[in-house]
Amino acid sequence: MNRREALSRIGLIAGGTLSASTLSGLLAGCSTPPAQDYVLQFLSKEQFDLIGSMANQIIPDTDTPGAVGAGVDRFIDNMLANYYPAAESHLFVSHLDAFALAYGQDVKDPTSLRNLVQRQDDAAFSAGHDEQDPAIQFYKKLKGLVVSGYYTSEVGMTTELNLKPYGDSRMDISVEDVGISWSN
Amino acid sequence: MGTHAWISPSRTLEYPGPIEFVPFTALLSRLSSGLTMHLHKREEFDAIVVGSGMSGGFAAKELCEKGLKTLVLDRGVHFEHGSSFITEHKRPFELPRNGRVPVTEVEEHYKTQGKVYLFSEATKRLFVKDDEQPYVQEKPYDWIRANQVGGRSLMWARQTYRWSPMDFESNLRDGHGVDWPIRYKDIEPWYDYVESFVGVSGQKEGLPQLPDGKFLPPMEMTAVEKHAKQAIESAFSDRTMTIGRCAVLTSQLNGRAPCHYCGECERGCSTRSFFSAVSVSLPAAAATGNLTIRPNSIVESVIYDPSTNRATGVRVIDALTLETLEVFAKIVFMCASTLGTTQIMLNSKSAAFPDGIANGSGVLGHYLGDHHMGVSASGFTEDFNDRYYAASRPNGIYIPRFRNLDARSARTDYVRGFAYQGSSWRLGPGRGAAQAGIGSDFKNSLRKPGPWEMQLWGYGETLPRFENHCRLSSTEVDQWGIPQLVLSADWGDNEKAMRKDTAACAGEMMEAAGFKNIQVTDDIEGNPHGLAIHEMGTARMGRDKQTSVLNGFNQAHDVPNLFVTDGACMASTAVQNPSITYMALTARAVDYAVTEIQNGRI
Repeated sequence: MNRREALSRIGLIAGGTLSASTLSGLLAGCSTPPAQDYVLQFLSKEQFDLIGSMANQIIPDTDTPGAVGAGVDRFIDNMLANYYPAAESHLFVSHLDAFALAYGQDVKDPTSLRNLVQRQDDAAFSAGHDEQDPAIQFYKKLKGLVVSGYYTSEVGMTTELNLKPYGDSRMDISVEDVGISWSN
Repeated sequence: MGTHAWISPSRTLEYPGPIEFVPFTALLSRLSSGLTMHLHKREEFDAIVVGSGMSGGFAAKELCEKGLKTLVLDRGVHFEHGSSFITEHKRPFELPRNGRVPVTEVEEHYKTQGKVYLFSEATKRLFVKDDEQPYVQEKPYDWIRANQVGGRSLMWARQTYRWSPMDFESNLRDGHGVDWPIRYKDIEPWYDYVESFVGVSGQKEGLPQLPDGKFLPPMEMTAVEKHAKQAIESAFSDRTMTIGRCAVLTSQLNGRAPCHYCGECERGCSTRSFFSAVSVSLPAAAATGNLTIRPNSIVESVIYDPSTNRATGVRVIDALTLETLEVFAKIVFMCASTLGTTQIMLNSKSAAFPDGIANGSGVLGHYLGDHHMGVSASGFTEDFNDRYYAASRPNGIYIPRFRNLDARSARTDYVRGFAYQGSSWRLGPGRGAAQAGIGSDFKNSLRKPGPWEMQLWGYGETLPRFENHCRLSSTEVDQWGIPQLVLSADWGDNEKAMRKDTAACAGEMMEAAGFKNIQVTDDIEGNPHGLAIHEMGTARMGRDKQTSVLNGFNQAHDVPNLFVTDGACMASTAVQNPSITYMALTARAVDYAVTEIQNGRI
């Protein structure tokens, strides 16, 4: 079901009486299949779960869904399968495996994982860090994918941020008129 | 007029099979109904227009409105207003890979086209595949080419600036290139005419180097741009910052709606608010009933009849069926883009013109110009954090040329000048990728608009130089058997000296406006000839048939019913974005050509 079909069906069934939050909740799942139906394209189930857990540490659930709720784990699997050259994707996954191997059971415990991801982030953005360090390159690529995947997802664009409406020509307004950032 | 049989000069002497000629409007309904229709009789037209983009679309409109049965040929695929706009208003998550083109696909098919700033999953089909339509880069050259009817008018940046009196006098004044055979007063009424049809929004400034036009209301500046304008103009009395003049409607025009500020013009515009051939000029031509348009039609050469000294038509290869055919008309307008037109003319060889039709001067293919770019400045400000915007404005700001206008602004290190486009915005959530932090604090911080950034991008005039040229390869042909184009152009000392000043002025203006973390860049390697997509000059206008291809009405000196009105005709590049000048010259040339036909001279 695409967004347009979803809107027309909701219109038919509910006569347009659904609240905005229910509507956005219904629409949130439309662009990608439900998580349990997703067929992995590049990652193993273990790798996919670890990517999702790390991504959700970077962008967690708040009053809006986090990275996994927005489908960022599926987005990353898709990009590894269909965007990057194969060698680049395999290199990325080899660093993911090395990360899993190095930290063993810690990556399965949310609190430990949070500390691990925080440490990676501190290292990657510390003063004088080595841009050539493979672990830092891996983490920065992961973070880039999480951020770009989240803020170009339907959840990220329509729920977390504001979709800029069409038809407004004003280029100088008070930021308070909008409150939160445009997503587009 | 030699033999006018339906024969191919290069493949077979037999009748090549059914040829389709269908009026544009009928074509639309036919495609949707899936019928096929073949015309077996030979058709002659009053006019043939090669190319259907910015110049060809306008030539078609003018010719059709003057009552000429006009055939428009385009090598690109069928493309029409509305139903061809398949990615219009699609959000990233509605596109494969959220809008990214796979790295390997770019590498394989779009190595050059992929360098264009607006190339994405939503727009890639508008560009040719480089590997399917190769050319030879004797020196690095980014030849950016469209894949469809309407040409690059679908993807242009819509910036619309008149040339000034000094631009038509510059060659004469400093001796570079040949004197333009026209002056500003010759083209001025045609700017008025074309702008009134196209629809151009902008602010009148009363500047001699950038004449005002027939403007619709200007778009608005951001708070940061308003501040920068005030600061720059008070620090530098010779400089003006104005809102971009652009071919996007800010009020109704001829039934076209004002812009709705989706900010993605290149995906097509259902409301016809931005000007493209597909949405505006070709429909106007079709409305006359005089237009026939044939896509997938690769013009191989112009047919020349030495007994009459006329172009009698063109030879076409059908890109899909590989059939060849000849079509005939009283006049031929070449509007296939600077390099496309030149390639066809160079390939139109005959005993009278062994080096290409209308090339008695030998300058066809030479004096290839573009605007040099890749000098830029960026900066940030922590002010105006309480200000924002509500529109995706398809336009920026413009700082007109201020060097070498008069004695006071004269330079000793280079001639001609440069201008800047620019824009400002608040950083979006993508900034998080380059920023420390994880978790809910990180997420919530990205919910707020980021700091303001402003950038200026310099564009400079290029001198016409003989050695910057294109020619036909003597060894390489394309998949249709046509000799590939060899491109050979680089930047000269004048451009390099100008770039230093462009960079210095950009930096000092950003400083005067109080920006922080200012970065000034001069990336000449990353911006070879072609990437500004303002190539021009290879069939230049001039007063003397020994040194130019065209006269002051875009008419070939050597072949009076052959006209060239795309960028190939330009005798210098100036610094302004050139499309509006091509359209004004086109309308003027059509008016002249039709008068000449009526008077029996062609």
